Amino acid sequence: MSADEYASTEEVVAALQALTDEEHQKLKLIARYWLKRRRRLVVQGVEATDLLADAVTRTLEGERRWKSPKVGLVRHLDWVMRSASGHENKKGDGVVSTELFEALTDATEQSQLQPSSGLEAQVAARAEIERIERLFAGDPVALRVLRCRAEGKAASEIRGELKLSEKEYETVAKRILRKFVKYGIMAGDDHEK
Amino acid sequence: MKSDKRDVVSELGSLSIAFREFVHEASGADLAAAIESEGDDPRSAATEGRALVTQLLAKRGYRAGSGGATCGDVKEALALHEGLSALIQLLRRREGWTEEDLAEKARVEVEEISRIEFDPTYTPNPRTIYQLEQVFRLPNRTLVRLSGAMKGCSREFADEVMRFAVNAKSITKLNRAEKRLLNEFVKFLSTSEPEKGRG
Repeated sequence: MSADEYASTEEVVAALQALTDEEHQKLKLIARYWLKRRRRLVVQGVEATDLLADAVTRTLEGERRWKSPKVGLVRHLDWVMRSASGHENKKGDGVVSTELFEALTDATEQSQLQPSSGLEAQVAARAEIERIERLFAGDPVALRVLRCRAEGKAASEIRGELKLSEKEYETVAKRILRKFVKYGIMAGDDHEK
Repeated sequence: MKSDKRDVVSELGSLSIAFREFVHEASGADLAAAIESEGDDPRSAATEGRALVTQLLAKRGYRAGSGGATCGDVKEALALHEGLSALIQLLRRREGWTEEDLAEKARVEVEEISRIEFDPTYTPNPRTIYQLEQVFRLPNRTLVRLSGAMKGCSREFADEVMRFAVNAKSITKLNRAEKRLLNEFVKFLSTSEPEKGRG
């Protein structure tokens, strides 16, 4: 690790080369998730791998610097993908294709990037929450666990609050994971049906 | 649900983080099971990820894999992988073995044999390479240079490997020409001296 708190390009390369199968799988799922969060990107033909490639490229080129080892590379790339659409004024930097850049900027996720940015973003956030809730229709326990995590509660607190054994909590966590996978691979808004 | 509009945005942000946390925290087995439960293949997800990283690194002159830099030229590095893949396939077929047979004889995972043969981005671990050399009764370090674990690779060496890979056609039984090709290539590998730098 360099004296700087950020990883050098060589360190990023080494970390990318060392990614395990499991980490690659996580990145793919997360890329799919962020793509779904930007539905207009899907319509415009952008794929999950484009988002991931963009995040890796930005990290390699130092545009999004990785705070290693404080943050794992998978988490870092997750956050870069999350904010990938926040580059309105950097067109033509050669990092992403013009088409992808335009698609990304066109579909800026207002709700995440600009929390106070108007009614449209708030309506979109509400709709997104409802989509997630519908995804959990039929599994209220899993939704409650997810909501507790969103409130910042630790697993032990949640188990106590919802009276779940350790085993039951693990089972619920697996169900939430499956919902996440489902969220990413459903075509359009199919999971609402 | 909160009525304040800004709270809705925050709520989504927190929900999104929590949702992703279950992925970050998932074990490999749970992850694979979740991916399979939705009809997807966890192995292909990993292979695609590696291919993407390889491609992105190659554009910048790096090669993917765990062995560190070998040939500076990524095309040459990929040629070595092609050569290794073709060689293992031909040697296995010469013996009339399936991938499972080879894995059992070499005491390695069958998945590793499969990836050596079909995944051009895969760098096998040194133990596997050693085991394969033993099983095929090859001179020591014959396969090491193809595995990407050894520094120093001349352009001529990579060219020779690529020629071999291109000519090693995939058929069910080795014909006489393939046997000759295989024998000549093994001889070449075992007699050519490792290069210290690019030719």
